[in-house]
Amino acid sequence: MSISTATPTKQLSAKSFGNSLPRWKSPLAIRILIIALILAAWELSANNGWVDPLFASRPTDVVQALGNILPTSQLWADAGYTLTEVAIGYVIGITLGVLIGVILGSSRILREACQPILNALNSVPRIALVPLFVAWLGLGMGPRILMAVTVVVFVMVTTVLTAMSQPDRDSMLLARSLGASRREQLVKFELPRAVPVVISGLELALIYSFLGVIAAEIVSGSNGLGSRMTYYANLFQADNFFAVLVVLTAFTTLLTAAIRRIEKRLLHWHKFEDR
Amino acid sequence: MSLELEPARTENRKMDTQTVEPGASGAAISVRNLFHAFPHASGAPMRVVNDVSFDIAPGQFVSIVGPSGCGKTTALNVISGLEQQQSGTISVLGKPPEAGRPEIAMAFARDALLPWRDATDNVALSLELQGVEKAERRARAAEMLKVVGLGDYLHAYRGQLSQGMRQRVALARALVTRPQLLLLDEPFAALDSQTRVLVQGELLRMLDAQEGPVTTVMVTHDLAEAIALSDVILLMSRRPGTIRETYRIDIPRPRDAVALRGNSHFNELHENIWQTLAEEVREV
Repeated sequence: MSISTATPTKQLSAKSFGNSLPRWKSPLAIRILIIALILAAWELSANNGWVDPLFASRPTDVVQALGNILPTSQLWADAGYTLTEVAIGYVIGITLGVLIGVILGSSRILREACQPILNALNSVPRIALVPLFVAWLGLGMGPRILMAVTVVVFVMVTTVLTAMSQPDRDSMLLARSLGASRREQLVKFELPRAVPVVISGLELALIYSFLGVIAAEIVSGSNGLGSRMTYYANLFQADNFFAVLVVLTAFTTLLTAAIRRIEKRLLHWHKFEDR
Repeated sequence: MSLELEPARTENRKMDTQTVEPGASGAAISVRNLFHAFPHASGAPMRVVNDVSFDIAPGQFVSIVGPSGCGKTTALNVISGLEQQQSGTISVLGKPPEAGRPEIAMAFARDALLPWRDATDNVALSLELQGVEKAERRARAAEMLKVVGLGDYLHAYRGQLSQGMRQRVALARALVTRPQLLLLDEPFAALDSQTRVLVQGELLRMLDAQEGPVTTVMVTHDLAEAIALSDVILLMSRRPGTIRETYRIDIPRPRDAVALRGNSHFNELHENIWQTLAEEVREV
């Protein structure tokens, strides 16, 4: 799972498009150009004193800071801590979310009864609850995991309810005319149709799991990448702060790319749809 | 049949439904005094099918034509068991109507192909639900697809197939089970007029390729299509629909759905029947 394997597939799909664009007009080239422009503007602003490098840092400093912190065991210990929290929160959140989603999805009365409650709970600013979570669960992984769970659950409930609320009338009619049992209807007609929506929900849930964990880490405790970022910010070490942020972003990007890869394999038929 | 007796005769024969023996034994489908009504916004139920009776002999291709909303699809749905029967006496292959019988196959205006299955697995779906073992059902599905000229598209997904191809796959899915009875609800309605004629030809070819005789009931608003395919046309009046006329189509088989369109006898039949159908369509 390296970055270099991600790019050839992009080129392949562009090639199969048929109309041969000149190389510099490829999405990849444009993407690199945009990133380069932003980095150059940042560097230039810092060098010319338009922004204070003490607070804003600059790309070359961030690269240097990355070189300094990457070999330290402290960074990897923090990364391991954060990833563990994210993984546990993700799994618990998904399990609960799918469970609640399926229950509500199969009963219209329950769904109508619970939807307003869920909406109200989902609009609670979760970050404000972290001190309470700490009071319950201490300063360790507990409050961060709980934080991730409270966000991921809602993502998955919404996803499952969306997936289940779109039955295809044509295929239901077909299922009946073919004498499919209730179980066969579910397994052969309804569940496969829900897979694309559920997978995109899983991808979103992963990002939200990171979001919940990092937010909780910033507010509480001293382990994990979020706490590390607070530490550097408090010391006015913007270059180290951004270096940790780069590491964090690399993790989320790689993990979501992995989910996309699974999605592509599972949904080989999906690219032919949407016409 | 009638063609051999009167080969020179080009005029269609009209038959009165009432002359058919009620509950005639040996009929593949027998419908007696079918009424059907739906709940209506006004509160009073709206009657859509009004005392319909007919018999269909085994192996016949019968089309039910009529103006929009005349209850022809409702009648078909009651025969198929998809719609609960409200009145009358119906016998379908010797039994009361029931959805999902293995000896009965259906196809609809929309193909309802499952997008995550390739063409072969879509055709095999009907066999799969009947418990046919995997290797056999895939072999039979592939064979059926070859009959409809989709031998090169065995592993194509729905998104890779044209409308006409999709409908051919849907028809193959219906016929791969070797049904005794085929029920079609506007099976060509989603196709453009040229593709429509081509797929009609494929349907005739598929029916010819079946081992036993297949009784077919097709609901359509397209008179030309009914004439091209059918042995008998039941013309329904506007809502609440009843059988107004029965026409026997004496065009010999095997028929060429494409070539028929220029045929003078075909055009003559079309003109005759259209005059009656137009009365029902016009008086809204």
